[in-house]
Amino acid sequence: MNETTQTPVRFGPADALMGMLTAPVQQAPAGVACLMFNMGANHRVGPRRINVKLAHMLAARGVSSLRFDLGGVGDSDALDTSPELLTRAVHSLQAAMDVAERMLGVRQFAIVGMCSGVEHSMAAAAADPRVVAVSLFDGFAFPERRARWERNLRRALAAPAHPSFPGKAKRWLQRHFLRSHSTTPLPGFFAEKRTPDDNAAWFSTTLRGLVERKVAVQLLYSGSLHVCDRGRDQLGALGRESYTQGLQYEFMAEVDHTVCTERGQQLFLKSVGDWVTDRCFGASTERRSQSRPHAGTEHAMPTTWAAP
Amino acid sequence: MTSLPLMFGPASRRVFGVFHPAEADRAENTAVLICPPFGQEGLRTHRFFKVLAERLSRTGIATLRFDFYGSGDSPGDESEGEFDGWRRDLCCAHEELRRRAPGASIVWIGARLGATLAVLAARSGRCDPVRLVLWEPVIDGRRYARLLREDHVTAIDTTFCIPDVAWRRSLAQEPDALPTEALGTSLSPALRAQLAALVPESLPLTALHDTLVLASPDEERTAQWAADQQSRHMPVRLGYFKHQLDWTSDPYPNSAMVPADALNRLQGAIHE
Repeated sequence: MNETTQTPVRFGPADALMGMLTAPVQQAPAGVACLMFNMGANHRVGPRRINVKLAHMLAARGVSSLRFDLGGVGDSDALDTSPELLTRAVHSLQAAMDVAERMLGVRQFAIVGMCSGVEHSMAAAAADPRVVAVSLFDGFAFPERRARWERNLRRALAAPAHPSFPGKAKRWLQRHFLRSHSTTPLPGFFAEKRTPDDNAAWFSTTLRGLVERKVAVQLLYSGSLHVCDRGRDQLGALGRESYTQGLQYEFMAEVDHTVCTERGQQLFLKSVGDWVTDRCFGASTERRSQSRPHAGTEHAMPTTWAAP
Repeated sequence: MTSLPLMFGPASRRVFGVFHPAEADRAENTAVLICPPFGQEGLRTHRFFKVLAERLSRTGIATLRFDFYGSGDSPGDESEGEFDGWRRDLCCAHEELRRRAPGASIVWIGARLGATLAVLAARSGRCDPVRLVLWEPVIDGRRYARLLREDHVTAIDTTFCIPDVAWRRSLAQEPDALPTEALGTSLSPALRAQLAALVPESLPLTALHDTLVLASPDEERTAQWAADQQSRHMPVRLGYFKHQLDWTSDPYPNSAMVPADALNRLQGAIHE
């Protein structure tokens, strides 16, 4: 990794947060930097170290990045700036932008959010005009009846031969019939506070606001959770709204939720790496071809492209 | 006390670490170097060792955590991972800790493959730990690779509603093949060869330091290895220890990330 520098940093209120800046040294860095952070309880390197791999790939293309732990996760100490988890996450992301701005001299950011990080990324983008792009992996999904039927039918047909079927069936029965303590979430812990309708309303309102502000949005969905997709299935009715037509949407059939396979990682890195690189340098084809011969300008993905 | 993230090692091979200084009013004459496991096991135990380091720091024991080159937050690609380089990383970490905690006796706590590397590095004579605490060390590379492969296939089966059966079929057809990838981590050709050659006989302990081996009661091979070392008059003790930590799972809510019994056991192992 001679072409990059890696600098660990402590930042934020009382230096509570910890992260790693990765920057190119042999070329002028892009004017937009990338932020990566936790997926669930994984620390800042991401599931299967995917954030580190993405940071190295981006730095080799001239894009600086900061991967960091939200307050209270990984190596970061908890923030006490708000009682709300989402608000504290936004504060962490804004502190990350502040330190990256100071150390890298960039004023605009692309955020990569995975799973639980999707909501945090969208909220930070809505709250802070420095965010110009968000790549969102396995976040909100609102499949309609046809998509749900097809997904459930495929799952049902595969279930008898599925090696995990006995265990999953047992847990499903326990959850739905026994209501034992071990399978029933404690109030306030691991339990959804918002209803699905509330989630859809929040997602829709926030997404519309981002699109109107011309924030670039990439929506990615893994094949392990969603099984199949015939074209923006996960967006449900939102997929027919005019403001969602310009979003990049990709269903990644071979990629699983925690990018467990080398093949899945390659597909994820190519899709997210190319998209973020384009957003960080601006999407001009001329600029791409002149300054970044290695950045992918073709998306020869063996996955379903549902974008128009 | 706030921990300090840092990079150390030669310019061509920097590695990342986090130093937890001893609380000034309780500083002991002991420091701890944590040698993390490989791949997913290393990611899985990140939080555990962070909490352990904080506990040790509060009791006056300076502690350094680090990531081997090409793993965790350190630079480098997984394709460059192999024992010799990692052994040098461990010695660099030892020197870094010695610089930050001068005069302290240094104890190494190694888990899984990190424990194996600790044995190899201590034997090199380049660094001088006073004690090794080896938590379920990997003493049979082929068996370990097989376990990683099985867990990889289980992870694929669990995560995909409709899994690719080729993984399970390959495991059934060639059960002893060394994998090129496991649970999201690539295994380099050099690492595969080193794992293939790793047997209990290739891990002799030395008399330069005390050794405490922590193993599950059903790990008969580890117990036998420790007994073999004792019969060579090496200063080694075996402690049986069961815990709830699943080395390779994802950090889901129903899977303990920082089991208190394991924390207490390792903390006690520094001095016993």
